[in-house]
Amino acid sequence: MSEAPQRGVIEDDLWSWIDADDPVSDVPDIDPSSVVAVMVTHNAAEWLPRQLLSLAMLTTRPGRIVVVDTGSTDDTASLVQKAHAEGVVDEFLEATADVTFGGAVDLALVDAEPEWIWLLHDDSAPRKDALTELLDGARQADIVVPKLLQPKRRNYPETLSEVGQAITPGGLRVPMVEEGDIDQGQTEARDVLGASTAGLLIRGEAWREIGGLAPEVARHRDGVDLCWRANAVGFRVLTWPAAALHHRRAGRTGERPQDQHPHVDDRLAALRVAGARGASPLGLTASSVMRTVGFLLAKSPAFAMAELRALRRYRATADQTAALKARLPEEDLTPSDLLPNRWWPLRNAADKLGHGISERYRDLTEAPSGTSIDELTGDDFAGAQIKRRVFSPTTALVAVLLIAAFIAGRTLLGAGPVSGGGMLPAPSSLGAAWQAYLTGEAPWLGFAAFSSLAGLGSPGWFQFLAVVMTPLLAAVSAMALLRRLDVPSGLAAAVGLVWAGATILLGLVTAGDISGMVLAVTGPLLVRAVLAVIRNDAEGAERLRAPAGAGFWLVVVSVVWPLALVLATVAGVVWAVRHRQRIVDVAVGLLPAWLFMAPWMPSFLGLPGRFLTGVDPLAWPDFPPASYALIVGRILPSGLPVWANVAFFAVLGVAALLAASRLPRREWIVVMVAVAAPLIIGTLLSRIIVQVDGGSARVLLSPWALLVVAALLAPVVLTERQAEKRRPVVLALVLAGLLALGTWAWIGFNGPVQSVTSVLPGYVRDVMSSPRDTRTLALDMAPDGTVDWNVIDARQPRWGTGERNPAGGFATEFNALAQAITGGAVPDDLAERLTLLGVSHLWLRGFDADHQALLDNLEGMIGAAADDRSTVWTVSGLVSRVNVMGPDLFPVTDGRLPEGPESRQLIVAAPSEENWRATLDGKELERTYLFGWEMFDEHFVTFQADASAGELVVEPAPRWGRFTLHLLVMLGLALLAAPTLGGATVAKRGRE
Amino acid sequence: MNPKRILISLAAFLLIAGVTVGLSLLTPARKLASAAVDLPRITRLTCLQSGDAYIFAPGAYNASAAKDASGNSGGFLFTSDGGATFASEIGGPFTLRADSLAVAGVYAAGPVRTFAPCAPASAAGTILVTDPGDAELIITNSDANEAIVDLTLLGPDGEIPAVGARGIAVAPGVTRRIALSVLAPEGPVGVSFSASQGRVAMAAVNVEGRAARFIGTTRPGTDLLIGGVPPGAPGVQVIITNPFEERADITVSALGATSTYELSPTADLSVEPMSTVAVDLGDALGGEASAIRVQATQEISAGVVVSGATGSPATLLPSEPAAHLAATTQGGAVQLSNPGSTPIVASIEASETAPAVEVRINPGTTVVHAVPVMPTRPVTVDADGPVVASTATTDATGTIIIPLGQIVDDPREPGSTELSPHLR
Repeated sequence: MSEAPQRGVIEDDLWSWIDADDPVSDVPDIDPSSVVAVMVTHNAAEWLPRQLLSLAMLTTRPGRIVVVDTGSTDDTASLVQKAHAEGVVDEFLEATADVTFGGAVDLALVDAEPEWIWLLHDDSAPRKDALTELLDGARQADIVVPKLLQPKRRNYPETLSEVGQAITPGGLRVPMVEEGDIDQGQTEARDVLGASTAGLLIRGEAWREIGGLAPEVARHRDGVDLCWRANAVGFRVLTWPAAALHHRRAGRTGERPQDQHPHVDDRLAALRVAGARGASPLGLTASSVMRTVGFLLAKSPAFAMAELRALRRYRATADQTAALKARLPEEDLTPSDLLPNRWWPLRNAADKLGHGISERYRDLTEAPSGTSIDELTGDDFAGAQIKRRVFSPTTALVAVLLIAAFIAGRTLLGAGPVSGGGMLPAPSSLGAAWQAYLTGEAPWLGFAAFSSLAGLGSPGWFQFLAVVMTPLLAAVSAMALLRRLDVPSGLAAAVGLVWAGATILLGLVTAGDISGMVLAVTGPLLVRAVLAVIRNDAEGAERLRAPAGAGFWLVVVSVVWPLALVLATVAGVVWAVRHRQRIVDVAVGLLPAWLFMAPWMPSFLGLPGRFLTGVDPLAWPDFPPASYALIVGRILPSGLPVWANVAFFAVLGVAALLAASRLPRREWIVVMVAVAAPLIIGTLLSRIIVQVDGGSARVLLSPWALLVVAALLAPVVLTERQAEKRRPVVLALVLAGLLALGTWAWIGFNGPVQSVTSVLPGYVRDVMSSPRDTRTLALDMAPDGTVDWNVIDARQPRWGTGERNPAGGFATEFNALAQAITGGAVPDDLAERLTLLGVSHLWLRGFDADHQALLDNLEGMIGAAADDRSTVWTVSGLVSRVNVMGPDLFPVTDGRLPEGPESRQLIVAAPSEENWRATLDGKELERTYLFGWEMFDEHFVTFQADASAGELVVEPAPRWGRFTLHLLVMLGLALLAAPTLGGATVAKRGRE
Repeated sequence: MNPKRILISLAAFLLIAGVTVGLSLLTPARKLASAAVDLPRITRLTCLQSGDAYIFAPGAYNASAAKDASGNSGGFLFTSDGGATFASEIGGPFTLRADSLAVAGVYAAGPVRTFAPCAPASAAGTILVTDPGDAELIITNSDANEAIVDLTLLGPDGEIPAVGARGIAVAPGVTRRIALSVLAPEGPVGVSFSASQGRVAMAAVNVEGRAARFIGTTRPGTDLLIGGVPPGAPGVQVIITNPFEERADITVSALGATSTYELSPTADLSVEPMSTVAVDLGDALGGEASAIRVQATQEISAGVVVSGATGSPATLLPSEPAAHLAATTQGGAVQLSNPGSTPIVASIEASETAPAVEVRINPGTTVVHAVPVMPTRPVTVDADGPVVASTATTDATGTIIIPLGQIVDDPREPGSTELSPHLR
């Protein structure tokens, strides 16, 4: 042992070694004969021969090799005896099966006090020079930790298993190297907290001082405990990567037959090591429970059970934890830098997440080269080389789309929130977005609220980002699909560019076609997931991942275009009938979407036309559908020039024509049908109107248009995928895509989607968002005499209000009032009507003086000019959404209900079929029915209140049951789609 | 590359495109218009003259007197559940409120009888006066808020400066009279008014001591149809006011018994900016019952003054053609004019006991159907196209012409009032 422990990484200054003196220059070499190697065996007949061969081939043999077999029931004992007879092993002892690893070592040493002890597992084959190198390291340490490699595989590089380890306060294993990394000699000697006992070389003096391996830590983590105790009393534990062993880890991976799950012992040991060093039982319990949940999510109930079993056993053996604790010195000299940072678990999780993302990006941007002669004939790792390009086609595509989006987005900056066309204004906050989902009809509102996190929690910013980034996301998702089809990255980028161009020129982003935008992005991902299902050959729980992924994307697609669910169901059932063994795959793929949509389905039964529309079908103004221009993708008023559509689709059509002419007959027919069917169906559907809840709407055409584009691109992909060099047709497609992007960048958002602010003065909006929760009736007369009207309040217009009559409750009454005002036949009791309907303000723009005078002269209407063209009339008295019917009718204006008579009724200005709830000081009030004012045909929402005063909250009732169902479906899909534990432990080199 | 395969693919693509284009030429279904609603129709008419009220309204209506000079409420006058009503000797002005469209007027008997149509209050309008020296303006504010009115007098030689014609304040419920003879002693004159605040009902009447006369309010337009020129009218004048800064070229035609024809006295007529002209039509109408159509290159106001052998002249004002018309009249000659381009068949019902009579009105013509004269005779016209109609009754105290008014709302133009979910 050196006089002063030298801890830490050898030097921070990389060049310090030039001037540094060799710290062990004066330390003599260690005689190998002073080493006693102890190998413990147990049911290792499968791999023991290789182990014994390694021992026989050691260039430096220890003084003695003692093997202790702990009650093996296979041929282990006979194999060892044979080796003993051949002189490979110096001594062979037998023990019972209940003897631990430490107990076996003690048995081997008995009364001997060797200068060095070398611990060996029966599955840790040392390299020839392992002991030589360990003894070199032993000149400057008390415990020398070798490098453990994963079992060697022919034609693959050596990969790391472990070079020392630490442990978190909660018992998590903290590796010092990334398991599975290729061993390139990158690791250096360093002080370490602990290590596996496999190959440990321990100074005998240190072994005896710390009392050897603790029997309380039976099979796993015993090395960590031993080394930690050595560190605690000031011994030096040093990794020495020059010494290496191949460690099979037969115990942890379950290769060694045993009665219980191998995780039980490992976790129990981890808990005990952590508990003995001060971890609170509560914290360890919480940690174990969370890990149990994690194992369940990873679809490994066996691990989850083992985790709980280990916890239970740990809690039942507090005496052993106390005994282990008693082995620790009073003063702990362990350097703090050997202990992992307390945030290590979080940092590790973030690292893994980032690694996953970068891996996926790398999958997109890099393509393996063709198979080389080296790959076919080499015996080292001359496998497929990865082309790592600085400027890949994907990078170029992303850069071009980002620049185009940035330039086009300039036209949306300034005025206010982005909305228009089929896109209603975003809710004002993340909370409002969730409220829209919880109280609204459509399930897509939940996805919209969740996706708002992408806008830093602002739905408005998310909406802005959505319209400018959709082409980019569509291109990336198309590329992801094509890469799954092994399409070269250059061709994939070209097709992705065309797909993005189509999303632009079809008007999806500039006309606010939310469904179209979502389908352009998620459609390729759904197809990709379906491909994974078709190609799925995994077994067990891992087999469910692909259909679960497809199920998730089907849910996303279905909520924005319900017809997709019907089509997918028909296709899935046909496939399942033809391939009976795929019934489970089809069920996992389809049932979640049906479950997710189930609460919404009753409304579809009466109005099946909703299957054909997209989100917020009544948000769309009545765009007259184009006639022959449909053939060039003018399905929406995009605000982009027609010539751009003509040029783009002409190029796409010619490219598809030339490519299709090269296809075999069967593929040719499929392509023609794939082009014709959606084109003709979409054209026919463009001529009809369907009834939806609250009105009539036009059919969503974007899915059919996207299908046509996909069908036109398909022959290009099929013919160009195998081409040795790109043909001019691909160049033409790239130019067409660039034309679309350039047009979009130049013109920007010139269609219905605009950045617009509210027409209402601030004081009106303040009243609407106050506890009075009032409405405003707004009428806007255009120069041609047509009048647009709407009912505005704190909850509309916004996402989801186009799923029913956008005017909301009392739509008929408001329609009548709007027409009466427009026609100049305003009822004398307008103010009273507005008061009962909860309307505090009337806003008019563009009306002539007669209309204004008409309203000015009504009792209870107080007019004031809002600007030079618009006027606001305030309904006199404090109008509120909620009124109390007592002896008199009085409004609740400040969210507080004053004391009053017993048994009074709260009248909410909402039709009785709406689902509202009222709470008084948190206590829910009883809903009553059948109240209505004489002048209206509808019943109102009413609640029964007693005499007491309190804070009154009246709001649309959230649908927690539906939310719970959606949550469960999503969690179920996440559980099924998450990697299984088995899948995660696949050697990384297998993927290289 | 195989040219044959290319040609086959091209043919397939052309076939698909052709089918698509063919289907795309199908007329798309229209979105359903807003649901039909029962409009809370309210009609408020102000009647400025005292006399016998002649009212016709399909819905319920009631009348209440305007406030008196001291601001006291005039009180409730009469009510009806709908139909034709005659109420004698009602002191004007008073306000009529109906739950439907309504047609009303006040008949004043006497040595010279008159008929004064009731009209809604408005924020702007024009009164056409041929003899301002005998006239005064009645301004009534039947609303709850004060009205402030500016008058502009447009004479034959342009605008007539008039002191005190601006900022005339009329308190709620109050009627003011302003002597027009002081402001514009020479005629003809067009009095344009606009309310900078509120609205008023306004008319011109002869001052006391002169033969009774009533001139209502009209509004500017470029194509005005004035019905009701009775057969054999001895004197007919067209009076036109151009309230704008540009000269207006005028075409005046008559919808006579057999055809529409331009009137020679008004050939090449143009009206100077901000001025008023009156043209005597002489014998141009040939004694036929007619309607006068005035078309102009810009908005003008126009009226027709019909003088009888006895009594005061009646000033006829433009009206909107409609298919369903009615009024409570005194019978006499029912005149119907068809301003359209296709023949119209109209059913005239003038008695509960007598059957309705159908008449055919050729395009651009006027027909007359006589009904017995009675003190009150409701007349309804149901036509298969828009017409203008009136009744004319003559006796020793003069000729009164009672215009029939629209009593059924026109079918609402689809899409004129539409819910816009993005308005916020």
